[in-house]
Amino acid sequence: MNHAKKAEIFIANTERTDWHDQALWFIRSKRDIAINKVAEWEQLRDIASQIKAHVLGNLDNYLLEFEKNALANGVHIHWAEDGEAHNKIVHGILKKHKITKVVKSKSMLTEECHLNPYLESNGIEVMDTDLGERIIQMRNEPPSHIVLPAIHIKKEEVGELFHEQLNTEKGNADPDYLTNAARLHLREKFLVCEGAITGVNFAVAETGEVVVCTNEGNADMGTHIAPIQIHCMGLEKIIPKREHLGVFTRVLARSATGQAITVYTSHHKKPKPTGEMHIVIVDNGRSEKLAQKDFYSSLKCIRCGACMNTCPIYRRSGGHSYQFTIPGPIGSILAPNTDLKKHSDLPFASTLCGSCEDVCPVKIDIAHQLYKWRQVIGKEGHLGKMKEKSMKITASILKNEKKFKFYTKMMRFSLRKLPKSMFNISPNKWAKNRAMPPAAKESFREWVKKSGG
Amino acid sequence: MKNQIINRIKSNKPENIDLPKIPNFGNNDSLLSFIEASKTSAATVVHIAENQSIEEVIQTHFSNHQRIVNTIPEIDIEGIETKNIAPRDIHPLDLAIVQGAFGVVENGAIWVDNQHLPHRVIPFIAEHLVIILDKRNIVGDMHDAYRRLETHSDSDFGVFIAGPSKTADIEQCLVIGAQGPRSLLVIIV
Ligand code: SF4
Repeated sequence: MNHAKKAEIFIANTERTDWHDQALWFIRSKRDIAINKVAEWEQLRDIASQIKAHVLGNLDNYLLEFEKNALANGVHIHWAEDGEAHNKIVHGILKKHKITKVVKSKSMLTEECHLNPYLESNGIEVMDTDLGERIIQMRNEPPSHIVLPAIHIKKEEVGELFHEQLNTEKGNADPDYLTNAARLHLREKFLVCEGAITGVNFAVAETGEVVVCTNEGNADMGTHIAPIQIHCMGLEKIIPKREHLGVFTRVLARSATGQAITVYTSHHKKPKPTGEMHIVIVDNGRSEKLAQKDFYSSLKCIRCGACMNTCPIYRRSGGHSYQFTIPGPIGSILAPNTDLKKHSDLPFASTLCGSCEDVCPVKIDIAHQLYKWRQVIGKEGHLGKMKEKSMKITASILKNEKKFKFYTKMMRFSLRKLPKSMFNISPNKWAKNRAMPPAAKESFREWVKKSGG
Repeated sequence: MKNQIINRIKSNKPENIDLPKIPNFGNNDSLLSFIEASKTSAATVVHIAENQSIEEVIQTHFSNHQRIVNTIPEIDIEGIETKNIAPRDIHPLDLAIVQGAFGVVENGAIWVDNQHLPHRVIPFIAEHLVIILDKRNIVGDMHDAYRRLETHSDSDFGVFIAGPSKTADIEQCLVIGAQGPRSLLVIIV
C-alpha cells in the first residue's frame, strides 16, 4: 500500500485527523515561541548548517580523530557496514557478557537497523524505556514520529493498554497516573538490566565523547546502572569540537519541542570505573550518499522532528502512512535512496510549501530535494505508481509547468495571505481546517527556473 | 570494515567548506534571569538568606525523607554510604544532594559531573534532587557554558540538568517526574 492509500485510511477518521493535526501544530507553535526568544536564531541556523557542511567534507578525518580519542578514553569502538553488521556487533557484545536483558533508550538508528527483533530472535529481552517507545513496543508498532513516537495514540488507548499489560485501573486515562505506572514498571527493569543501549545525538571528535539528549532520564538510568553501556550512532553524528555543542544544544530542543534545552544533556566520555563502554559507528548507506551532489546534505539532519510538526501532509496523514523508519519531509528525501521503487511515492507526499526548510535548524533544502527526487523518479519511469487518486493533483502539476506555476503561486499566496476559509478551496485537501505555517520566502518557481527544471 | 568505510568516505565526500566562527553573543548572565529560567523548567529555586543554613532549607522542603545520599561533605545531613555498593543498590533513594558547577541563564541548565559523584546514577535514581549552586557561577548561554568547561577540570561523565525529569509522551500532556527525579530544588548560596 502506498502513502496515499495509507493516508486515505488515516484521514477517513476526520476527528482523529484533526486531533493529530492539532497536537503537532501545538508543538510547532511552542517551537515558534521558543525561537522568538533567541535574537540570534537565524545566525545559529546558519552556523549549525555550516558546521555540518564542514564535517561532511572532512568526515573521514573527523571519524578517525574521534576513534583515536575514544580509544584513549578506554572506550571500545566498532564499525558497522550496514544494519545487519550493527545488530551482530551489539549481539556479540551482549553474548560475550552473557547478557539476556537489556534496556534501550530512544534511538532512530536502532529502529533503522531493526535491532529489537534481531536481539529478541536471539533470546535477549529488549525493553524500550522511553515512555512513548514503551507504549508502541507494547502495541507492537513502529514509532510514528522521531521525537514523539506515540503521538498518534490517544490517552484512552494508553489507559486501556496499561490496564491490560500493567494492571492499571480500568478506564483510568489520566496521564499522570499512567506515567507513574510506567515509571514503576520500568524501574523494575532498570534495576535488573545488565546492558544498556542508547542512541547518540552528537559525537565530539576532539574529546571522543558522545552526547545524549533526553527528557525522561531513562537513558541515564540504564547507562549508569548496567555494567555494559552501548551507544549506537550513524557516522554523520560527528562534530569537530566541544564548542560546537554550544550551537547544537541551543537549536535541538527548541526546534524539537520548544524547550530551551532537554532536561538531560549527558556527556559520556569514559566508562564507569567498573563498567565497559562501547560505541558502534554505523554506515548503512551514508558513505554512498555523500557522493550524491543533490541529496547528500540530508546527512546534516539532527533528527529534531521540526519538519514533521510543520508539514501539512504529515500532520494530516500520520507517520505510519510513510512506511519508512523516518517519516515526514526528511523521511521522504531519505527513503528513495534506500529503495527508489518502493518509496517512489514519498517525494510526492508534499505540497512543496517549503515550511520544512523554514524550520529546519540545519537548513537542509528539503523541499528542493523533494522536487529533485520527483525528477529522478520521473526519469526512472516510476511515475506510473503516482496515478493514485490523491496524488493526481501534484503529479499532473508536475507534468504541466503552467499549472505548477499557478499552483505554487496559489499555495504561497494562500499560505501567507488568505484566511482559513479561503485556503480550503486550494487543491491541497490535506490542509483543510488548518491554520497554515508561514510560506517559504524564496519562491520555488524561481528556483525551478534557475535550475532549469 | 573500518577501512572500507573510511575509503568510501574519502572518495565520496563533498568539498571542504571552512568551519564558521562562533561569535560571542554576550547573552545576559544575571542571577535573576537564571532563576526565572529554572522556574520555566519546573525547578524550585531558593536563594539562601543571610541567616539561613542549607540544612534548614533542605529540611523544610523534605522533612520526612528516609534514604538520602549527600555528596557534599560541607553539608551536615547524614546520608547512606554508597562507596562499596553497586549502582542499582542505591535504589530506593528518596533524596540526593549534589554540587552544581555552574548554571546557564538561557535555559536554566546546571552542569553536574562525576568529580562530585560517587556514582553517576545518583542524580537520576533519586525521587527528589537538590543541587547546590554558587551564585557567582552563572553563565549566559551554552557557548559560554562550553567555554567555561574548557577551564573546568576534565570529567569522565558530565550532564546539564534542566529541571526534574519530564515527559509529554501521552497526548502531549506534560507530566513532571518521568523516570528520573520528580522534583528539583536548586539552592543558590
Ligand atoms: S530535516 Fe531538519 S527539521 Fe527535519 S528532522 Fe532533520 S534537522 Fe529536524
